[in-house]
Amino acid sequence: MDDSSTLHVQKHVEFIKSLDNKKDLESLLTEHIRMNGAYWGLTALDLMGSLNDLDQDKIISWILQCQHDCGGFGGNIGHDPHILYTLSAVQILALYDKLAVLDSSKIASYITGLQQNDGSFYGDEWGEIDTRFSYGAICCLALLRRLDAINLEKAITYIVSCKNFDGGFGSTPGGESHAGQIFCCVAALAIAGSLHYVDKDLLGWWLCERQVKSGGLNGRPEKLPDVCYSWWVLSSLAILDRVHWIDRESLKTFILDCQDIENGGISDRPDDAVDVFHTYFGVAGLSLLEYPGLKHIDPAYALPVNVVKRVFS
Amino acid sequence: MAGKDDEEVERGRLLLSQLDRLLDADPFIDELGFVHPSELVRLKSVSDHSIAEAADVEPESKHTHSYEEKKQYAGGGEEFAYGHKEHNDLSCDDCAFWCHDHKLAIASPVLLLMYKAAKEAFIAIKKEYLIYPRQDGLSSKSEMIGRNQGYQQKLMSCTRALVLINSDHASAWNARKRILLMGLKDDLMAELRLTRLVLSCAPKSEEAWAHRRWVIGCIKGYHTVLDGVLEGDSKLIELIAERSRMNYRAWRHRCWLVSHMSLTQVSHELRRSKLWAASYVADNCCFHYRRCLLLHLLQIPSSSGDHCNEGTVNKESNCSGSSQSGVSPAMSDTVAELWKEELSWSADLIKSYLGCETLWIHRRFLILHFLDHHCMKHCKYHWHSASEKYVGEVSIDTDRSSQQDALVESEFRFVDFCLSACEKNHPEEAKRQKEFAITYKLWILVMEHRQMLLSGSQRNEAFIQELRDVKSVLGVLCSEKQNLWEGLIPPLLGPDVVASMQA
Ligand SMILES: [Zn+2]
Repeated sequence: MDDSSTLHVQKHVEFIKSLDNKKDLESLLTEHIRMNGAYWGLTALDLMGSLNDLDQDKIISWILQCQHDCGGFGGNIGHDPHILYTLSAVQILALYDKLAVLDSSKIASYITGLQQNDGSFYGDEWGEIDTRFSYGAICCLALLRRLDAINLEKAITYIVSCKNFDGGFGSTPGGESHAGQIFCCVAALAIAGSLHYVDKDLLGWWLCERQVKSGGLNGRPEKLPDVCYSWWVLSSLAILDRVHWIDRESLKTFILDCQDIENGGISDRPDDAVDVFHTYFGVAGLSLLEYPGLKHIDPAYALPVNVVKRVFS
Repeated sequence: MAGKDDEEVERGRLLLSQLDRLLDADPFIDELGFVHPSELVRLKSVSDHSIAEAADVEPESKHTHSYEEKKQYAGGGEEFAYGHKEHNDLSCDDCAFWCHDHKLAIASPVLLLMYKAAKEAFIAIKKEYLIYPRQDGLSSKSEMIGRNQGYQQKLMSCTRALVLINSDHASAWNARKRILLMGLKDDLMAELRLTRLVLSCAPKSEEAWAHRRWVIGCIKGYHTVLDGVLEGDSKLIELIAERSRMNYRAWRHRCWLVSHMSLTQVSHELRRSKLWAASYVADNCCFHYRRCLLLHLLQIPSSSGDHCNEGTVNKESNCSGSSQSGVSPAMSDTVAELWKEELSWSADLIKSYLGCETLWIHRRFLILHFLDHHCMKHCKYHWHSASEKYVGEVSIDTDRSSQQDALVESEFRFVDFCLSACEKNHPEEAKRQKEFAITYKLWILVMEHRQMLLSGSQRNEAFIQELRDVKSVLGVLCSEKQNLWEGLIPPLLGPDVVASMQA
């Protein structure tokens, strides 16, 4: 059996579980985004059918300690709140079917406070604006079933104002098209039921041009391919119903080539160092490609399909 | 074991205080690097040598020279009373730091110890302040102010170390914002220098860029310095972009600056940054920046003249995409001239740099706007096959659609020219050039098709023939994207044509 032709599920599960105990500089330097890390790791575990390998109660109690009086969550205990960590916290609780432990109106009022007159969102009290924060707000409130807490129409108008001539979206009006920003905008519009604002053919074309000769996808013209774009590009194509426009087989091969077969984990490119971010996005990309044995992932909520169904049942 | 841990904690604190002294002694340190200890040794031997040399030859002039350089590098807005102190009085760990000529190198093995110490201090100070947040227990107001200042100073010093080592530590940046809000303009200028120092080491750091925007937002209150800051930032990004290619965050910051520019500044920027763009033709960010500038030109009201700094200040860059094409203020000759220049320059670049994706994307943008609206009226401009360049033609004024047809035909001639390009020495580039040329032709056809839909006109025979030809060439030149062409092109041909092709 050719080793790099299959997904080494058990190795990746072990790799993710091992991350919790590391004490090196790298893990120290990522302490402030631990909430994101937990979401990436746990969602990957769930897609691989191993969510219950980690101590659920311990994780939930840690998440709750990251919440501030304003309702927002920090990236770790003692860190300032931000919409992106708030989204990750809510996503993790959705994974565990424990949304009920949250005071959803408190979170909703935090997010309400971040919306601006033009419909955009601050990421936190300091006023940086980005379409990623629009996605964070909309996805988070949808999971809490509290979309009524913001002016959704204005939020949509703002996202649409970030559309470019190539059909893509940037971080702010006039910002360069970038696959990560495109995912945020397209997924937010999908959740808000406003996909008719997306130029599906033009954007689909731009997204397909991200596939390079090796089969991997890049995030912008002239960039190197990177496993994380298997998610950003592919999820956008999935929402636009255009996944069949790319060469799926060669993309699958590219992702599988980025595995560390010995120690588990997936890297950005073949033979680079692995990390939890790319491990999650590699697994999620394979899930969108319907890799056998993986749970299906919802391209807009970035959660397993069964979790999303449960939330909205 | 506990003994060893204590030792390490102590060493971390000591290193941290040394770092503090180094940074306080020279507020103009503008470059930071984390290096292997062996590199530190090498740097030391080189600088000892150069110091000795400088001491031989008139030390005074050397000093002046570096001051002049500094002024230039600081880009106008960040000048500051030059309070340079000699390093000699600083006793610091030779195995940990090297600081010379406003450059600071830190040996990577000490980062972990220092970071731990800074983090510990940060947590401790925050806690202390939370426990005694107000004047409770303090006898006088001056005592309270004194204690608060001590607290602020400690917080500024440990957060500085945190963000230098970990530029994305948002909570540390935020703690600084809270303190700066109580302070003065001079602190803001110093803060700009700190973000520059951090960015010299972590040019892609999102939080550092966001903090810099926040500081500039605060400086906006002081109009006298803002212009200098904006120009300084534009230069800063070119410096950073040279070392860190296609840096989305840096260029986003530069596009953000566009929203503060006047017509004169924009045209100056467009012409000035041409040389840079031509040296980095594969950097899409840079060409996106030009698109921002070009679109901004269309949005500056022509009557507002050159002194419209105030009028054009917006929260974010104004330069939205084609979605706002409805707004087309009367275009001044200057604006038309700049757009025209860009179209012709773009063709020159495409001819010189074979197979460069960003150049073709830029042309897609240009042609879309030429076909779409404003530019048409002023730019009678065509590809001249015989001379292989774009020429301005004095066309007898015809109606809009025939002008468009002429432009499209001219672009098709340009595409044919590029398709015939064969470069024996660079077969890969030539192959890519052909791929991009034919997809560019498809782009024009797609844009034409959209206009047909808008105007309700029918696809004519010529259009369908062009599209079929393009599809078959794509099948040969870009066969690995066959799924895309099969998805994209048939709907443009229309159902009856597709049926007849399959028959
Ligand atoms: Zn990546």
